[in-house]
Amino acid sequence: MDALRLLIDGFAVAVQPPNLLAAAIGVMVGQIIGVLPGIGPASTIAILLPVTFSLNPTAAMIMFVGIYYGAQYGGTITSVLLSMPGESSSIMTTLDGYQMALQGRAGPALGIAAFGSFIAGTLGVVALMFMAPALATVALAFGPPEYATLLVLSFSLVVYLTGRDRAKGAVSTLLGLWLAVVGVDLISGLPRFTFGQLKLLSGIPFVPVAIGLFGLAEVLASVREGRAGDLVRADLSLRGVLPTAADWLASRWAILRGGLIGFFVGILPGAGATAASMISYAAEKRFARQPERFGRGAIEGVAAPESANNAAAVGAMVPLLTIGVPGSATTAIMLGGLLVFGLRPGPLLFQQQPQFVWGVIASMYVSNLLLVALNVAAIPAFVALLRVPRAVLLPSVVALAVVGVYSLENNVFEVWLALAAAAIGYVMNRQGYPAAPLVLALVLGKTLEESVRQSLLLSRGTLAIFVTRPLAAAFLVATVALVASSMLRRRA
Amino acid sequence: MPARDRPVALILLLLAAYTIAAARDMSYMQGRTPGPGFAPFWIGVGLAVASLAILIRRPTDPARAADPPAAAGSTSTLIATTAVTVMAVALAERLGMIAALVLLLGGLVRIFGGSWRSAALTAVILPLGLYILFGRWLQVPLPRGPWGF
Repeated sequence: MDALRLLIDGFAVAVQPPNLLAAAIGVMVGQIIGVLPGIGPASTIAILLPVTFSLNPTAAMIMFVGIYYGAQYGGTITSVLLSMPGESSSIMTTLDGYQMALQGRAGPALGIAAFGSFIAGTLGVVALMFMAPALATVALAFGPPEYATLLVLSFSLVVYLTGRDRAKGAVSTLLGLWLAVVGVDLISGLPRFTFGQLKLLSGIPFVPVAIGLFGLAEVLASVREGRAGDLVRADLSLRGVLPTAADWLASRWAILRGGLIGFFVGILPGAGATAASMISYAAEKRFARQPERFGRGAIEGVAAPESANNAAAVGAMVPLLTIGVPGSATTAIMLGGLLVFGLRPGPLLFQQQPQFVWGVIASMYVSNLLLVALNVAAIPAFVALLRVPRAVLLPSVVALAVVGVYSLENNVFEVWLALAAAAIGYVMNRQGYPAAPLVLALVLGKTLEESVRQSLLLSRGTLAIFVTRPLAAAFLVATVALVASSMLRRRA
Repeated sequence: MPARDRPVALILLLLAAYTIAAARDMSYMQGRTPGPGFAPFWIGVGLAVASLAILIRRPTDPARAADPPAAAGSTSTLIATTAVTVMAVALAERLGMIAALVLLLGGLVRIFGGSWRSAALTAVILPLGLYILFGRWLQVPLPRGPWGF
């Protein structure tokens, strides 16, 4: 009941006009970038970070969550009408959604995606509401050894779950850790890998790297791939997008299962909304009486992955808010933003900043409501966005990124850093190295180093501290099991 | 290992060797706690192992080796995009941010195949919008050129 009381307090924060406006702008921007292929929520949040520094942290976080959420909704539109996912988490939706559109049922496909996302997203927020405070209470018992081993487990999970090539995932993580140690070592005062550059003494700033790796590198990638497609014509009026009773009947379990799978997969570091949508699609196909319908326009094939990707976006907030460990590139960028605001997500956040935490949680209900309304009533407006020429859109992203990065420190050095990160991100993309582990490791690298040092200080230099404390030992065992299973599976 | 993986893996191996060598010059342990060289040393070792794993493995999955297809003319577009962006950033402090954005946007819209009309419109409207957002609203002191903006 305590959670309900706190949630009511949270609603009082969420419905304050600046926060309501932030939610509305966030879901709108998220929906737009979800519709536009080539720009993702991670890059958008990274590019908008400098703009949000003038807001209060609650409004900024509400806006970020709205963008993350909105992008999951928006990605569906291009998947269904163009067979081109606006977001990677909508890839599975193209399989049946586009087939439905070709059969003249684009409206119900978009409608069930919106309603399914709303139901699963709302159930996810309910789960988050009850689970997060409990997890935060457990996390209060975490000391440096627990944090160190948890971070090692998180990095291993990210490598394990991101992409198909684990060696490349490991390289990406290690590059992120390498970047994280650049700058003056806080304990000894020794500069590390600064190459005589005074501006690097305080370390590699996170935001320019994130903007370069995601925003600018994505522009370069979409230039190379020359993405384009033909829009399927469809009845997108209010009546046209409402699913029929038969559609609801066919989709009801897919929505619930998708929501459940999505939420729990979303909690895992590295898994994210894309993995959640894939797993839920596969599960739905396995549960289906006629699995051969999948890929030919089965509405459950739209309902399940779309419900899952929204629930996963909520699930990803659990580790971010409770233990301060982001599970994806987008939540890593949110964490970076919160640190700039002087907020450190983790168990103490629930005690010290309840208005912030519960305001953000309550805003998720508000965002969900706004999004379902937008997606049922205003789909034609978003479809019109697909007519914005790429020749105007991509340069606009570059210009916004350049000014945004400059505004961080009023310095061109950061812009050069972002351009260098863009070049690295482009090469990584071409070579199949995932960028998300690099960003996660860059954000959390210093915490890992500090935790290891503090642990060894506590234990007077003996590594036994990592195996004698039960939670730390459990995290280590899980890491070893993960690495071993990964190696065994590759040999099999 | 796909042949295209090799150059990057070799560069990573060199970076790993450099990191380990640099870490050895820092102190590995200070008393009983890790020194500034502790983390770089293990990061270097990890990078060496991971890049060696990429270097020595055999190709097992043809799909993994396949490079995603590039759109026609994309290489020249990429080079031109990079050149215009680098030039605009290099000139931002001399010409002023707004003038640099005009060059950047006008150039990029044309490079991406937009008409002269869209290039001109984008190069005027967007810098103005960004100036209002950053220069006025957020009070960011954007670099000014010889013409005062």
